[in-house]
Amino acid sequence: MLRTIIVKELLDTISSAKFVFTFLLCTVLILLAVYTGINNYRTELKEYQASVALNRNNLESQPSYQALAGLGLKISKPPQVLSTLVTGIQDAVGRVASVNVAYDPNLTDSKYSTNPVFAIFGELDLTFIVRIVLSLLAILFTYDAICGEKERGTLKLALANCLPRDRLLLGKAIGSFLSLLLPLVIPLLIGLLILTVFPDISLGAEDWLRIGMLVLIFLLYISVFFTLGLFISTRTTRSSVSLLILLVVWVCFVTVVPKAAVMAAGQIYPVPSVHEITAQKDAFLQEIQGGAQKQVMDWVKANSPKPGDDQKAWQEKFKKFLEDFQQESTRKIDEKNAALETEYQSKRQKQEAIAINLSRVSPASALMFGAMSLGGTGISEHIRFLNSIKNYKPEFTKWANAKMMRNLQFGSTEQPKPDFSDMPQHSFVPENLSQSVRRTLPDFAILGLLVIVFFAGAYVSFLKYDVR
Amino acid sequence: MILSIAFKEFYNNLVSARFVIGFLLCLVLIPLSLVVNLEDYQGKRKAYETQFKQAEEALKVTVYSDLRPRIVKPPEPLSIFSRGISYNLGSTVNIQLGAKPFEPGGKAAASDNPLMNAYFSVDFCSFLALVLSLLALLFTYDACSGEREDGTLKQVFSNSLARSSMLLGKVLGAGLTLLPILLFCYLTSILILLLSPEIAFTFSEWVRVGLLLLVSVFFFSLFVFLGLFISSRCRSSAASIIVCLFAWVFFLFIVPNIAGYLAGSFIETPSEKGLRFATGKISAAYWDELQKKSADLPQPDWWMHWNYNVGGDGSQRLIGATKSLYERYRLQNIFSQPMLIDYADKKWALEKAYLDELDRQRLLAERLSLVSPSQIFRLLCSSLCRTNVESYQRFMESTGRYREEFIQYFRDKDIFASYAYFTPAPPERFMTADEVIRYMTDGEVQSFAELQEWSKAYPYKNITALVKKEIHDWQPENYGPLDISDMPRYNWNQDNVAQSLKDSLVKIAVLLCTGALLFYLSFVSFMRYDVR
Repeated sequence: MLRTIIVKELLDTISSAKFVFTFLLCTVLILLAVYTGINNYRTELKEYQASVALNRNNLESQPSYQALAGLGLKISKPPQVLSTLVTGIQDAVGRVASVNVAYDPNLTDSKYSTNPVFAIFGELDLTFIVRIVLSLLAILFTYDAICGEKERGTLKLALANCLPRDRLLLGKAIGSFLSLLLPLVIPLLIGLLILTVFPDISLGAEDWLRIGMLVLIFLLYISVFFTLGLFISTRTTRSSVSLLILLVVWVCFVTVVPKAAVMAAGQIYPVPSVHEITAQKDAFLQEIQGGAQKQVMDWVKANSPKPGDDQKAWQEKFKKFLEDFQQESTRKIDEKNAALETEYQSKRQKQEAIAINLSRVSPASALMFGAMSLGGTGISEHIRFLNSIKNYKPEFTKWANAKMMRNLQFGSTEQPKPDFSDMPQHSFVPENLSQSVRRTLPDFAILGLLVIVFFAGAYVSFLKYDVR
Repeated sequence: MILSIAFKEFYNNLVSARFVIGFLLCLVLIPLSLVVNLEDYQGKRKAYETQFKQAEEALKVTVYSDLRPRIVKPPEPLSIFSRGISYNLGSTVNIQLGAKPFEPGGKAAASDNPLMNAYFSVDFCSFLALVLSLLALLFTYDACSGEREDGTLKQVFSNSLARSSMLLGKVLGAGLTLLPILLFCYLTSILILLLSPEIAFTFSEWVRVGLLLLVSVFFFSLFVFLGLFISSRCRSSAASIIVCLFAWVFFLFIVPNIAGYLAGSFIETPSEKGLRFATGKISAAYWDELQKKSADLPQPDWWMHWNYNVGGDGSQRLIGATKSLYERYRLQNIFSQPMLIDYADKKWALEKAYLDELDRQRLLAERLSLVSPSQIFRLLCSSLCRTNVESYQRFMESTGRYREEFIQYFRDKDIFASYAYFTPAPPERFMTADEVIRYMTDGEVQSFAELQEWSKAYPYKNITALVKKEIHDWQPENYGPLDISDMPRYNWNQDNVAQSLKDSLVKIAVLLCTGALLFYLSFVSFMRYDVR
């Protein structure tokens, strides 16, 4: 019997205009999203490679260690291959950091700041399509599942036979879910196939696992709205009312809750503005730099060579002093920055946790955070990259200070060209799969829970449903 | 008759669940978004004040070559209503000889706290666009189809009632319901603004808020007409709500997002790295030319820089040198500084091409998005709030003009040919190398040649031992800041209302025409509607 209902439901939907419309819409949007994602990633990759080459060039053309230490080097953030599917916050945050002996490094030059067009108009990635359009389609498939049949009068006819209510509900649910999956999975598979065709997009085994989990979270998210539609349709007697309620819930879930939650978190747990932190950092830097000249002069006055002293030996001593002095002052700067930064970061993280957890009430947020974690394009990955640069800075300054002072040539304008063979290199290891999965577990759990709650709700309500 | 239909609609809506939901949504969201944006604005204001103080401090220089004003743009108070692009751009512009203002530096608020970027938070106007359009559609989707289903439509028309009066009554009814919600949103926000002491709007800013309200009315009436039109084309209210829903998602989410990408694929984004590479080459060419030209300069009698600081963009401060060295630098500056300006023009040709290309892309995206009324509304709001791209471009142009003024100020004073450009030391007391040596050694060594012989004879002896007196003019602490009271100051003439309206004329026209067209269409379809 279950089978008959499933087949009937499936055939019923497949032959409807709704199905054709959904299929076409899904195909166009999903393929468009994957295509723009690929295009964006390729341009980002090109830009990244160009900037790495340019930075390398700049570095090698530095005339002296002084210039190198002062101007520093630039580190660009490599684009994530899965940003083709999940753009995340990548476009809004900076991509380049300057590392030099003075300032605390920060990521600047976001895509939005170099080209504000993208800030006015939103993003269009696969996650967006799933979040907005496919969830709506899921609602459309089930809003009249029960109340629609009641309106048409077919519900009482069906239940006049010896058909248990639970079987009818299950059959309808499975049937329409299958017919929803069809227009969704086929374009998705084609999209993923397109992804493999492009030579500059190399996906490893881990990436495929991530993609698999992304697809899983997408399906789970769609199931939430699907079961929600089923639930509401068993609680209402008219399909237009059911659609109205679903619509309001959808708007709240998709657009209102995620934004309101972040705003509310900002109110509940305010974080000092970055300007304040930066101003404190800059003030300390100026204090150190301002005092530096005087301290060097004092040392020279106190230790000035007596007549008859060996000039060479004195110069060596002076170099040693300068090196120690420089190392000491940069260490102070780094320590102060780190102290300010840890305090700020811990506050910021707390705010972030509140915002994320508040907004997880909405499945759309759970999807967004889960997908961003899986795609490596979320906030935490951004912070990790920034921290890797902050950790690299002391290494670099230590090396640059030592080189700069040891190679100092007194009384000559010719300074030796820098040698980069032993320069410490910045390295960044992206978050591994198990960590990402651990971070997405709550999202999976929330989505799963919602599916169960809504389905159980639909089940219970349908058992008590007045079919007349 | 029209009025009684309108009031009936109004009372009907007033007791409905959708009114309560819409009202509650506005009650919570509008103050929340306003408070958040107000706080952001206050943060930006504070940052502006410190940056402005720093910029003023940086003007206290001892030589003209260090004088490079920094313009700090005050945050836009109206950004509380619509952020536009203001949150993605920096707010400081350094005026330089060697480069025209290209893009503002300083921190952009958006990149500071990734959680607070545009992706997650939203401003008053975006919320309004979202909620108003939805409510307008919710109140009208069943205007015809719903009444037909209920069977009330045929009963109404069995009386002597013109169809046009019925339609007008429905429009008025929806307007009567939505207008209070809209006014409520604006009144709450105005109340919040009046209660916060940090914000003081000028008269013209209040006019802008008034215009915002007017545009919002246009916007929601457009969606009322859209809902009516769809409702008069559908037989069942379920069908009409589905169509309304898709129209809403299409206009609010799909069009704006696709427009940006389509524009990006029709007009390729020019590479910023390529631009930097090309301008880097021009800078390198400048140094080559400078070196070539400097080779002909007369050699000084002593290459001695007592206290010398060199920075970017021609910045140099030399305190303590011989007369001929001072003279050499003066001669060099006479051609090197104008050359710097010429090379800035060469770079600007490339930068301008880059910016033009970006702008072409933006214009295309904007034109494509004119399909969506909500995007038109958001663009209109940002231009009324002076946070649109055009306003930003005018700001950058004004900084470019200020740079010209600033350069003219230097030229009028013939500053590049003066010693004051790079040294605060008085030229009448410059000394030759021999005079310097004689003075410092108190006559022990008579000339520079003698000193060189001395150091050849005693290679391990330290010259500092010979110094008996220090030269007063060579001490940096003797010099105070320059008097720059005659320097032209930058003043930012904010866009006036007329300018903002000119920016948005086409958009307002499109909004009104679409509204009129939709009204006409719904009128025609309602005239032919089968009421049975």
